[in-house]
Amino acid sequence: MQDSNFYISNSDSTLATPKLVAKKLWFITAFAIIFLLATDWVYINYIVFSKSFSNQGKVKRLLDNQDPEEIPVFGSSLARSAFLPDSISPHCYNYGMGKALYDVSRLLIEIECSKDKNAPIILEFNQRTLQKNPLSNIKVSTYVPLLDYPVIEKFMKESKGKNSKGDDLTVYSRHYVVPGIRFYGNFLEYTTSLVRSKVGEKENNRGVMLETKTQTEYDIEMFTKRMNNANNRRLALEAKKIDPNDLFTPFDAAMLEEYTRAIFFSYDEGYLAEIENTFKNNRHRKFFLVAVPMNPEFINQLPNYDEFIAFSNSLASRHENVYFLNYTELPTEMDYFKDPLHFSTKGAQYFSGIFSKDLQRIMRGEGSEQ
Amino acid sequence: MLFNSLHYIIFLPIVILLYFVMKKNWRWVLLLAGSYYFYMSWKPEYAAILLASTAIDFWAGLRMSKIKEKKGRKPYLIMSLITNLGMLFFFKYFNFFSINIQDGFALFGAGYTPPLYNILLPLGISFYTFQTLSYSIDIYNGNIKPETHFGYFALYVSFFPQLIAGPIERSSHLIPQLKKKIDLKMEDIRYGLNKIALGFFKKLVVADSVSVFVDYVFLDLSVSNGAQVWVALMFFAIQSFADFSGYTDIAMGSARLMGIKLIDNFNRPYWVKNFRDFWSRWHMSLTQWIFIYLQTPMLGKSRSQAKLFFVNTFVLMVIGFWHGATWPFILFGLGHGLVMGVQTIIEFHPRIPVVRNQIYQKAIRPLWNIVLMILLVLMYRSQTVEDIINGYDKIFFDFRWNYDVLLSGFHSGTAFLSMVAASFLLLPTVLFNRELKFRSNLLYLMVMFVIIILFGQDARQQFLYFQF
Repeated sequence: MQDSNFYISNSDSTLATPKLVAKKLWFITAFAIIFLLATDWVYINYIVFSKSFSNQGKVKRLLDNQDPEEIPVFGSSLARSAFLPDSISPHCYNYGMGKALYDVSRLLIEIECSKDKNAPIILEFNQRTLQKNPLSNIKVSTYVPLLDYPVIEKFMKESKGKNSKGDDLTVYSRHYVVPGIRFYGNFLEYTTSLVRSKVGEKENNRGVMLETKTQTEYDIEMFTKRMNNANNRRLALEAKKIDPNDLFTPFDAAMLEEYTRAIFFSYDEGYLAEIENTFKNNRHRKFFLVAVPMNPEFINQLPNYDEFIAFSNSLASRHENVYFLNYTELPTEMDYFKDPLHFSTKGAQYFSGIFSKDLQRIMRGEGSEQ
Repeated sequence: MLFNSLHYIIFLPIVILLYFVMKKNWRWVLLLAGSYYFYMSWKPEYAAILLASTAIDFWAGLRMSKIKEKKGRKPYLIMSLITNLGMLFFFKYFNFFSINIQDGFALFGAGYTPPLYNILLPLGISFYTFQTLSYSIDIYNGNIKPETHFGYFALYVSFFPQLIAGPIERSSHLIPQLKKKIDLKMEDIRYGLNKIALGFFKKLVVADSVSVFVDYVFLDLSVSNGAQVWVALMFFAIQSFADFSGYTDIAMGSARLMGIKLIDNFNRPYWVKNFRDFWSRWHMSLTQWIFIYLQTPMLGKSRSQAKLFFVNTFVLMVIGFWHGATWPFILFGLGHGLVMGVQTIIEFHPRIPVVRNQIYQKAIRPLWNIVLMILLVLMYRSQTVEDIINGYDKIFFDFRWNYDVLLSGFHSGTAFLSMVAASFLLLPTVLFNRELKFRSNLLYLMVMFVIIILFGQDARQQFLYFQF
């Protein structure tokens, strides 16, 4: 037995007394605790919030920032790629985050509306924004580092959904408050975000990472084909659902729901009521619901997009402080997109310039041409 | 209960602590209760199926032991076979046959519609069914004596480390260990902890990491390209090994902490001479079962080349079908069977010269086998025959090697690179000695701990073999 380097004898006859086991395990446990706490400290102090345009960086900024003139942009990755703050206003900040539909944006809007401000609020609005997805869109890595804020803790405790396997999932878990293990599963993600921001020709423009990549014909071809296939599968599942001789499983039902949600406009009544209440309770603030330009190939795949436009216009018309700006069919070029869904920097500059003029016109009280 | 859950990380130390604190004669009660708790934490009602299977085989075993003539034992064996295979058939294969019968009738214009049932496959049924069947067959053949203590037999069937996804244990190996009054030994603790750490590393760092790209590509093979399918297949080969051998490592390590040695399921399976060699190193507890209870009886005394070819192919199709009730699994088995058959013919044919070149023997041949395995694993991962056709179409007719094409539509190049890094991290673990002895075990555990904490995924994903 060489205790100096914890070499344990390979002899089967070595009986382990409770004292001996405790001695060995004590060392491992002590190392584990020290390592976990040290890692947690390094991450929270040097990595997690090191970039303001990471998701958690954006939420933290929103919580801490008290600039009365800041114009926030909320929404999904469509918002993140389309609104270039420099081209909109010196006070604009882009809080767009990947997959942030209303289940995420509602928190950001709530934080923003709790501030004593009159600045307008820009919300990227698409045919999926007010859908309620049973699979949780909430990325825990964004909120775990911010659990000290009561509003974040409340949000996580109230948010529920399902994971990708269909199991019921409460977003909040008790271990998220335990230093050392609270970031488990997300360490790599935090580090990767940091590395990504340092690699390539990317620079931060108030919440936006500028990228030079543009889509290719191949990207569009594959995207269109993917959309067509998804639509064909949806139709096949619809047929299966009504075929008395076929077995329509819960998995089929979930898939059908997912395919349908992806291309059909729909909304959750609860979310609609909630956002309308927000509009009513914040009459001193102007809300700009913005449908950003889309790749024509994508728009062609959405069967009831007109209903979304009519719905959005109707929603805006019910509130004096709400404006719906539809840029969906704004003429675009191939290199305005970095992939079939998201704007490239060139596209963002083009769109943000146009949007900025409309925003200023409305803010001056000259109305909207959209 | 998943091994990769906080639930299990709390459950295991409690069971082990109580195991060594408890009177040795009563340990089986603790392990049996713990095993049923482990199983019932998923879907409590399916414990009844496990119990029924246990009770029937226990009773059949006792009855058979009292009959001297093999002929007299046969009805009890048949009863055991019908019960176990019947349950397996109903839960796993019924819908597959119903759909295919319906399609068969439709081919001839008939409109017969057999019933279909919306049922959830009980976890581990393919594993514990084979385990209990081996017990009944061994008693029927007079190879073992029956277990007379129902508690120990029930524990043999349900022992939690290997209940859900094996290794498929033989009663002659496991029951004596369960009965043995085991003392806590440092060697068992060392091996158990090292093995569990290795298992968690394989599952959380490697398998769950690369699965993201595999899932992305297989979501819609028709819009992927050849480069993506190739890389996804390589990742899937890594994922399936890391996932299943990771599960086995955790199972073996957990059992060993209680002084119980489970048989191993893997022995560096990818670097092999031929497919026969592969199947003697991959999921060994299943292939041994199949060899003893299916292949050997089918071959009988006559071992002609032709018979060997057909029996091997059939046996591998059964292995494929065991994995899942779909045509792609059957085709996967068929593909392996055919390759194995052709390789056997080439190896033993007197007119085909043996290549003795060392480079060929030690490098080219294993690499060639890996390429073939990667090509065949497409069938294993595909959901439908259409997916298989799409996949091969992409591999052979839409191959463009270009980083942008490879990542077309995939959200993150950095994530992809981290998957490649995770795959490379797996390599040194394959070279570890089987007893997992290191100069400093403490250092090994510390490094594993650090890697798992920093690079582990929190996907809470099931192990692949849970679905079988």
